[in-house]
Amino acid sequence: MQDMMTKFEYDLTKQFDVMVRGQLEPAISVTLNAPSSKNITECSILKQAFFRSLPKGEDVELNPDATVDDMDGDEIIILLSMSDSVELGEVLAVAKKLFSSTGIGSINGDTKLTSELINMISMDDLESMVGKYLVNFILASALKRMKQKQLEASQT
Amino acid sequence: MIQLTDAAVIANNEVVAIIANSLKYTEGFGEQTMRAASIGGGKTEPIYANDVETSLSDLMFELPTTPENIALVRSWKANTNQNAFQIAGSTPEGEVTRTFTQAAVLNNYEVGIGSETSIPVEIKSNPAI
Repeated sequence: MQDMMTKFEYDLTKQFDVMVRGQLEPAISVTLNAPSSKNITECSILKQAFFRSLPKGEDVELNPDATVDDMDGDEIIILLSMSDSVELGEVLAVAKKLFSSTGIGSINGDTKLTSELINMISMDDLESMVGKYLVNFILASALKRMKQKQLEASQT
Repeated sequence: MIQLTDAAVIANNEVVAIIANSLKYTEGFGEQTMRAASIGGGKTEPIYANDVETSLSDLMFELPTTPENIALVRSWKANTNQNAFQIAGSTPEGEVTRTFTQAAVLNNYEVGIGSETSIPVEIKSNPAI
């Protein structure tokens, strides 16, 4: 069974200043934790956006042997951008709300990622973070369920 | 010329809603003195002195009395001088941004409870940058 990642760290390409213990420090990385059922609304919207962006009219199946290493976050964003069924702006807005939720995002591993700090992240960094989050948490759970189904089917 | 009438207040990376028209700050240049030194013949030369002890910024504003703001100001007090504030305001003619590091709430603030009361906060910090 594929191990589920619980968090990942994203290195910012464009740094900005963040207030930490009364001083200004450069924001170097963003740590994003896996969502919980508290974030059910945002996660559902993001998951639906991804699956709605997949090509239709063909037999599309997720390769159950594929791992998250085979998926690229930036490719996911391109897929979402090209889809007629998905509004990328709404996806990014939902992702921003998710990342600023309690327990999800932090700057440099210790400072809470607030809405104000998210607004300082560059567009390129935000899109890359959203893509990577979709790959590591949203898609990973779908792959896990498919593998479980395959295992159950082979045992019957 | 257009008057700068409001500015966003950001405290420890969170935007804070304040009472309109209550925000004031000092740049932190402190106080200076000028004395006249005699050089003879009735002439004087000014001696300028900077009192570095006063080189701190003041930041003052009022917050609406809400349970959230009461907890917020308590947390600023508890942080001693480990807070950081930023104000940012703009007009079509330009913008002003100031950052106040190592900020502390020094006043024994009153929490007014009523229909139009507020929490006046007085903060001292490093000179604004």
